[in-house]
Amino acid sequence: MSKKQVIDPVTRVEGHGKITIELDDDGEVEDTQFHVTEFRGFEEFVEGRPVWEMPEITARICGICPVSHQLAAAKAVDEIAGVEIPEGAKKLRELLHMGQVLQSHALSFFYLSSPDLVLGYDADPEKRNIEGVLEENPQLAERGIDLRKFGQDVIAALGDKKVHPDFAIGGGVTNTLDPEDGERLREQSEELDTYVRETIDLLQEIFAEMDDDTLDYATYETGYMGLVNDEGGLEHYDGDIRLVDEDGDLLEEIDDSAYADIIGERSKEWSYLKFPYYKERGFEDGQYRVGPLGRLNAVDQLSTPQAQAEFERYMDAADGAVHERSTYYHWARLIEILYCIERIRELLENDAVYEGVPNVPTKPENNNGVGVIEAPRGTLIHEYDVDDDGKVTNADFIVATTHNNGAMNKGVRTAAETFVDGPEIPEGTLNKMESVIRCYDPCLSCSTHAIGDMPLEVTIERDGEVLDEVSR
Amino acid sequence: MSKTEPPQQDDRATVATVCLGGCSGCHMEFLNIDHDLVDLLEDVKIEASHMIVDEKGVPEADIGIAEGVVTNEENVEVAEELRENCDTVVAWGDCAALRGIMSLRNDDDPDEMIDEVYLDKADEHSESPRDDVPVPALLEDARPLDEYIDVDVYIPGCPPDAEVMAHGIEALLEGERPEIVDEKLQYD
Repeated sequence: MSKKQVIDPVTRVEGHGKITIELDDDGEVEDTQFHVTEFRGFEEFVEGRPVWEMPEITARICGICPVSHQLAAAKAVDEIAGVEIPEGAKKLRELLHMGQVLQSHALSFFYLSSPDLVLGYDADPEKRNIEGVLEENPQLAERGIDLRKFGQDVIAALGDKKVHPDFAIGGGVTNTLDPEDGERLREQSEELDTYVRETIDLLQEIFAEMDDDTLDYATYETGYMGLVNDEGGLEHYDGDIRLVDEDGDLLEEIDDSAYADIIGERSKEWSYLKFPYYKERGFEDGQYRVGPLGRLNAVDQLSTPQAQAEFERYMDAADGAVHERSTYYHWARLIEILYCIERIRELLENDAVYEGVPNVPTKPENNNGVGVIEAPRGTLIHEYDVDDDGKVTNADFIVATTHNNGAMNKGVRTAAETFVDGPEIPEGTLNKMESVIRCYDPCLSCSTHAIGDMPLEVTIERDGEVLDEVSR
Repeated sequence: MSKTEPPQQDDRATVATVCLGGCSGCHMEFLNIDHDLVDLLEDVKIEASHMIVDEKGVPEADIGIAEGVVTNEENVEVAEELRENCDTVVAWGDCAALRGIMSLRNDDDPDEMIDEVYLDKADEHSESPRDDVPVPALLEDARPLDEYIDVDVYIPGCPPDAEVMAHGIEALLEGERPEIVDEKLQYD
């Protein structure tokens, strides 16, 4: 006999999901499931279409980070065309991507998660949103708006639109950066480093005041994955896939086109989101995490000075070689925001981003192409098979949030075991369950390529009977 | 930007937004009004909007705004609730207004599509989610909002520009029908 509680839908996340908590006769947690409830079918309906369309079509998988999909698809098309794109095009693509990682991280931290951190997990749900933060700490909220706006402005300067810009194409990019825009963006960026460093300090104060259960409620051992450059440093646009274990020791460092050698995927009937795993360790033991925490656990260093200093402070706080607390995703995310601002400035100072239209003509030379990029939420993989005319015969995507599915389920389970005691579950506790998911900043529109909108539901059930459904 | 008294919640017009089968791009573009959000919140209480507030259902509101195409059974329920609970319903973006990119799936059989993605493109121990209760079933086709409910205002675009959305909301608050014409009108 068991009982179930459902949080339906999970809110302040991107996409559609719900949580089921199953209780045994004694009211103890027996099982939990984090379900993703939407399916969109991009992998299927792109079959038969010209591969050149993929950067534009697959961008529509996600309106939060369309640029990541566009770039992963464009990189795969470069491979199919057998071309090395010009250096200026690479720099412009990276610049576009840095704008997007920045704006997406700012959305996640300031708009979606800061209400929990600033107002508390138990705050009135009516107030627990960006409007509440504007009242409680207007400077913080407005700085969040500034940071997100800056990232979006970088994207618009290159691709004209902020959401769904058309910029990266197979063989390069469609435009260069106007030097006046470059100067304007450089000036805009000046105050932003300080904003971020002060926000990192504020987060330390918030963590210091949290009770141990709340700070540790989703702490567990997994592997960690991220792209790295030749020096083992943080890399978002192009690098090798590195996977480290729970102690930070190297498991794999492979060329991105070989991802399928190490990653398997399994699907479950209760979710539209698949479960990837490290093949060598198998389904149960092969979980790993991606995104800001995964990346900073996997890399040796960051190439920009202020972000590197913050990274050193962050790693000094780790007991071992990695951080296992899911709550530290927020910290890692802020460090990456700082990195993006610094990297944008470096790229704006590189003459290559102002040179002529840097793309090369393309025609299909290969029947397969893999494009991998570090999207804001983690490693994003696009793979296409094409026929000799360049029509897609098969498409496979592993989206960042999908890699984290096992870990998110584990997080919900851990939080439920920590906080749930019997079928009466206070609102603040349900919000803590949701906030585990929020740490990962999941993009469920993206993750099931697949249908997007992610309010979360929680159901409490016993023996299949629904005892309580929470849909605040 | 003017610094004002805390908003009088009872006096404000109410807005609820939902995302059906969409990419959240319309919601993202709406946030691109940036600091104007602060001013907007003086006039408007956002009762529901999955990315920024915690309300789970579709509450009563003066204006109901839907992003995304209707593609599964849950979308139909949410669309119907939106119509029932809101005075004015807006189809927001190409997907809701015109059916958008997801309708590229309409030539495929939904069950076959799900089995291919979840069985053929995963390991041999995988299960197909199409028969399970927690996940809503796909409809045969992805269709625009007005094939299920009456729609009062259409704002196309992928996504519509943030200023056009803000303009649309402002007009509705003044009891006018927003004119989405000329450069405001965008299909892409």
